[in-house]
Amino acid sequence: MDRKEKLVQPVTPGDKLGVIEEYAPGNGTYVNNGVIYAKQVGYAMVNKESKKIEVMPKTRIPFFPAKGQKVLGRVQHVEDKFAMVKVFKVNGFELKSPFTAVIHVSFISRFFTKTVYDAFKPGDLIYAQIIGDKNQPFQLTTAAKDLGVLEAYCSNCGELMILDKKQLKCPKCGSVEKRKISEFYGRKV
Amino acid sequence: MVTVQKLINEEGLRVDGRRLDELRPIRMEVGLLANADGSAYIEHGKNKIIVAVYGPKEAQPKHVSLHDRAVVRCRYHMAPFSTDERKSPAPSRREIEISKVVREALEPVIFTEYFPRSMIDIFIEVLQSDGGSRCAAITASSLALADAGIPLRDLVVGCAVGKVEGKLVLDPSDIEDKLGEADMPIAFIPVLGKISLLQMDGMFTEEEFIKALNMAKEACMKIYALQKQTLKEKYLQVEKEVRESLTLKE
Repeated sequence: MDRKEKLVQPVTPGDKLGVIEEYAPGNGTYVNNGVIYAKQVGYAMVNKESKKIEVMPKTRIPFFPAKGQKVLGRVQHVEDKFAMVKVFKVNGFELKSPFTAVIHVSFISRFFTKTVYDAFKPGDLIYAQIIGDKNQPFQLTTAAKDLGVLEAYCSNCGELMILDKKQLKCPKCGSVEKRKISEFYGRKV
Repeated sequence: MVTVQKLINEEGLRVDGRRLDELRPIRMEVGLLANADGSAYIEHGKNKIIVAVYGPKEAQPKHVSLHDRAVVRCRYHMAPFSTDERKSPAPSRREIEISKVVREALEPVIFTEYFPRSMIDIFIEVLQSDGGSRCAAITASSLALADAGIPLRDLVVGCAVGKVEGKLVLDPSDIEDKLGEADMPIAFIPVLGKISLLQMDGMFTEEEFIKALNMAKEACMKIYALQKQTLKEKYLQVEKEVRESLTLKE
């Protein structure tokens, strides 16, 4: 068979791609009894040098949270030592099904935070980073300049608070509150 | 409804004009629902079934989640207008059973271990029912799973064999199912060579059973080819582009 002909080939799950003596199985493939099969709908490609065979999926790629991803979420519930966050956007991609994550007090900022109540309140929009994807709920951190609260709501009247001289102030009732603010506060990320 | 005395005529043709080993016409479609992660539609004879797949997503409620793999949930539901007489929309005993067997037929092909603590939802809605709807549901569900981009070992195919007037008939329709002597739906995984669903009501002799099983497997391979063609058709337009872009790069 011509090498070029074999380079790109449309495949569906269960299509035989070759044997392990022939190719090294790559992404989108699996091995059963020494035979390489495709496990997704897409195009099978062979790297001529490394002999690696891969399937480039043409369907949607299922999302799974991974370490290092930057996320947008809403604070759901706050306790003394941690806050629960509903994450709905990861690396700029809107998720069809949001997932829950947790922030521990020790990961809120680079400085000492006594309780989460000093940093987040329910309803806040926060920008955070995933630091743990091994256990669920996934763990987040906001200990960086760009991470933290993007939108805070007044606990007195519910109005969106504005940043006034490094202080969060409610434009309606004038109350001042404490948060772990991101440098992007009030802007979109 | 017309009363039928003979289900197989002198020429060996069935009520709907098929030969004994002939399938009903099948049409499939994928990716028709915008809000589902994956979807498929199948017309298998008079069966009209729509399948939506959601996930892998966070398990809800949390206590059902498994620490080492995804949970697969399945809901087979018949629309109230899908039968001759109105069917109550509440899940019946039959629907609960089919939900369970369809889930168990599909689970062996899904790489659930890639998505620990998450959940995959499969919703099967029967818009019009005929004989062998659970087989058609399995066929469509595996297409919807592939459309959702969930890694699969293979596609699962369902097909039934029945016994009518002492003869084995492939893919029995509703009347043949009700008036016939036996009905055996199977789900087949071609690559693994395994059967993930085998049910039977009525009676088969041992020889009949072996013959029926082979008939069903053969028919499954025909449907399997159709499934692959459906998936390829959906992505065929891009094939050209990829080929062109690759030849340009070289």
